Amino acid sequence: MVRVLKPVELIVVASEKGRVTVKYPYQEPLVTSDFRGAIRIDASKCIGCGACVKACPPNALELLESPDRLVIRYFVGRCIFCWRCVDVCPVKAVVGTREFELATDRVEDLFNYTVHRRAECRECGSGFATRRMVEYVTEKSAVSEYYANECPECRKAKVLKAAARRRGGV
Amino acid sequence: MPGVEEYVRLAQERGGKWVAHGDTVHLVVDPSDLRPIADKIFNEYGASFRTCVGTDERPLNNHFSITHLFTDDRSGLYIALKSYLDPENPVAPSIADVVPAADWCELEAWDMLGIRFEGRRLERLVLPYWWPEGVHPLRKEFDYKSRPDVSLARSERVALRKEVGTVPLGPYHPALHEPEYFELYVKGERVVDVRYRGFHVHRGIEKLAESRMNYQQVNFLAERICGICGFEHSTCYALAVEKAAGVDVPERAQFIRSIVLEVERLHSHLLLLGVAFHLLGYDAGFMHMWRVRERTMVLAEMLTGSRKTYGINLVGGVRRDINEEKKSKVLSELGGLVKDFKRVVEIAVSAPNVKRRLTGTGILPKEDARRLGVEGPVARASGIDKDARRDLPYAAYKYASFRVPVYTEGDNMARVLVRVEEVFESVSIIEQLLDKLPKGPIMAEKVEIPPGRVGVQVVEAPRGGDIHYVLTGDGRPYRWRVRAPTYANIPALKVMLRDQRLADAPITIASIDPCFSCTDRVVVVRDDGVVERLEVGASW
Amino acid sequence: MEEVLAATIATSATLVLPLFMDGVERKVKAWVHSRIGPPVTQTLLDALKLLKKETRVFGPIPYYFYLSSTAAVLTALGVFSAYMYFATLNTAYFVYTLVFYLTSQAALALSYLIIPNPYSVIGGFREVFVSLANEPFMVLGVVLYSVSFSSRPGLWGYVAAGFSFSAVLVASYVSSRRTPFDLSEAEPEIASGGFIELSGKALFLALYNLLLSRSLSQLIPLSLVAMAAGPGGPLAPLAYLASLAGVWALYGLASTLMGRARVDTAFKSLVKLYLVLIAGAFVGLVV
Ligand code: SF4
Ligand code: SF4
Repeated sequence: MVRVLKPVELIVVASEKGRVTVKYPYQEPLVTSDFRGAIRIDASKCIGCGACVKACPPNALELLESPDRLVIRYFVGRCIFCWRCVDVCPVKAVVGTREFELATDRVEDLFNYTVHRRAECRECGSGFATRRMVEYVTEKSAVSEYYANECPECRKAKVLKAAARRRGGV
Repeated sequence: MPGVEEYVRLAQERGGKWVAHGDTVHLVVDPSDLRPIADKIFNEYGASFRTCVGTDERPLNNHFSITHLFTDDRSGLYIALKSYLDPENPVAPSIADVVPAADWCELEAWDMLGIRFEGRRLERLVLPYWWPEGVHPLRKEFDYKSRPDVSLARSERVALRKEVGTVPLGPYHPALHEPEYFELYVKGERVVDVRYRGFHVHRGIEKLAESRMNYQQVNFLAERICGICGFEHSTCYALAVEKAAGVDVPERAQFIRSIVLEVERLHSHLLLLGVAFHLLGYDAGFMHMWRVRERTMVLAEMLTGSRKTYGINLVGGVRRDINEEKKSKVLSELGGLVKDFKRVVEIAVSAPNVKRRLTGTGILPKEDARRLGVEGPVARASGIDKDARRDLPYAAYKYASFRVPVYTEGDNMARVLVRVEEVFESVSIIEQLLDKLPKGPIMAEKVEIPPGRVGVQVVEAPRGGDIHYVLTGDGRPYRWRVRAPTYANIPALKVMLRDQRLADAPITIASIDPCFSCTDRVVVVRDDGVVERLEVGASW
Repeated sequence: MEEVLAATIATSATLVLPLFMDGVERKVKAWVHSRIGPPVTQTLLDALKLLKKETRVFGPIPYYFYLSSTAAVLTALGVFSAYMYFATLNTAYFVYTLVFYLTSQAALALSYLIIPNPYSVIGGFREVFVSLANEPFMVLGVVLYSVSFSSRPGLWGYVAAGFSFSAVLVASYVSSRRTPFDLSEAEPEIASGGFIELSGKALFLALYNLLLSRSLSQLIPLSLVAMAAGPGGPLAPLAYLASLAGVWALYGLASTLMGRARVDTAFKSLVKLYLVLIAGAFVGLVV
């Protein structure tokens, strides 16, 4: 007899657990503090090294080149929110956010551009080099306090490492 | 129990070459010896056939090759049986008559590489029917970006058998609302035969990885092979590459992998149980199962940063650590979760009609299960005691003790109960591993991947063994072959569905927990047959 | 004049109530599922939406069929409810109700069979199959109940009435097409009953039809209770509607606790159950 009535126990479970659904979007979304959402590139920090572009698995970050410009384009529509770019950026210009409500009816909203002016090629043969990048490598000016304590060799090594990431991806 | 020597002798006897490296025995034999050796390994030694890999090695050594991958689950060995084939006219003898489990992978090698198999019927399996003849996409000269000229406007004939009624399931959404097509031939409400037509959405993932990604990016691609057990795939890939390159992965990373793998198994089994109840019309069981499942999703997000497609695997380690706070949170959450689950599942299987319709339906006899090489809970419900976590231990499973539930009934109920028990085992594995979590780094110091190495890895996904084969190349895999467990399980549906009631077909299909890839290009076919492609963002 | 007004109000209440009660049922289900669920007015809103949608008629689907069958049920319910409020319960009333009930059942099953789609034909045959087990016993139950009530006073009369009432109760649940007997709807992937080819207004009519016939099948056991209770006071119509709502919600609750049957097992277990109940009723009548 008790076995026959076992299914009715579900009513007890239901009343104990209450309602677990929420009135999204009228209620706070339920992502936790560990959630990885869209990324943002701080244009004032980015040196245009391209490490993030090389690491990005789905090509959400792309490098657009013209003779005088170098642009990091972020297309959120392709982004898989893995934050590899956050990991590899040598100057911590990429920050991860918890944003995930990214739908829009304007396709331009899905793009974000970080524009760099190119360095004169004398400094560095690489086509990727930007003024900022060259500054970052060689200049004593415009170097943040964090890096001021390091010798130029180290800074160079850091950038070389970033560039190596770009090439080898590991 | 055959050991390395027995396998090596197979090659030696016939003048073949061999290398034993770690847990893998590589045998290279003449094509004419493939069949007798495969026969012996499969039927006499009782090894599981996992898949075969065709490779275009012409740029390396001017040959095609075919590699049959077996695992000896009792001695924990991988056996890679390889033959080099003619570069102009690659022909290999078919082993499908002695190893029925090799049926599909041979067809796939034919489709993708143009390797001809003698002694069997060759037909399209993976490529769409409108794909041009003689274009084999996994050949190296085929550029991954090329789009052969095709006309999509032809229609495919269905309802091939006229003497019986046809009930189509699909082309979309039979069990888990994914694209595949079952044609059930019925007499009244009794199913007399089944035809399967799948691979609607072949995504060319292997080609993509071999052509334009690098080693670390492929982890994220591998994770997207499956929306449910993606982490199994990325782990399997990473382990295969690490095995090939001999990367020394820190213990802590391996523990984290195992823990997250089990969290994924929890959510996957709970998902399937919910779907099964839904298909039996018991939506209350479905909702409560998924309510419990949500707790595992939150756990996953806390441990990895994402509810699904965790994205924490890299070749050489993992990207997210588990600190003390997370550890205690997980432990306390798991306790409640297990109680909740137990209560709901007991109620659900006692519900009128749920129990009755699961019991005795969709039976897969043990002999068929072995012959077809089914995987995971489907195999274990039919009396085949295999589980790669125990038999071919990887990541940190050797540090946990757990039971592998095996049932002999082979019916839908057995497949459900195997999963129910595995949920409890998974929880216990997570608890054990968290308890023993060693200190240390989570990423290898140095990751160097020399070209030309081979790594084969099986990972026990919720649906059965995934297998990844990697032949390393320059900056990216030269050949990456993936075989997901559903690939091995679908052929068994033919056996399970026959002579069943039509009403039980959906639950039987769902009982293998099928997982069909679902990312697709969008094609609009108008009434008049005109095809429009929806180019999302053509200008980019 | 007053009577006409009262009849109009009563009829419209009977016609609109099912749309709300379905909303209530969904809420009850949601509660058992631990969800919030849609608002109570959702079914009404769905209906309005369907009315605004394009109606595509595939091939020879007899759109008019839905119109006529709904019209039949509507008239039945309208007349029936008016009857409820202003007449007393008698044999003619029961005959009348049963005839309309059977018509609406047949109309639904037929509408599935008529649509040239394998899924709806499967659904239709399942429906017919279950009805074959169900409707005869429904009629038999009502007859036995009336007999035991009118001609068997005393304890054995109660026994007979109890058994036959249970048979009617089960039959009304089965013909309300809820789990485990929503067979024509069946597995979402195989048969979607007669609804599979319908859209827009045709779909609305079919769904409304289902709700009305659900309402009708639930009224039958209620009217048996009303008969036992004897002529009511001025509040009787109100009590009647309220108890319909109650039965509706209870049936909804019960349906959440079960899985779906298979047509062969459903047939067998129904016949077995009815034979026991009817035998019980006969024992009460004959002893
Ligand atoms: S989060 Fe991942 S996918 Fe998105 S831009 Fe960064 S690297 Fe690319
Ligand atoms: S890695 Fe950082 S600095 Fe380099 S391009 Fe990307 S955002 Fe800019």
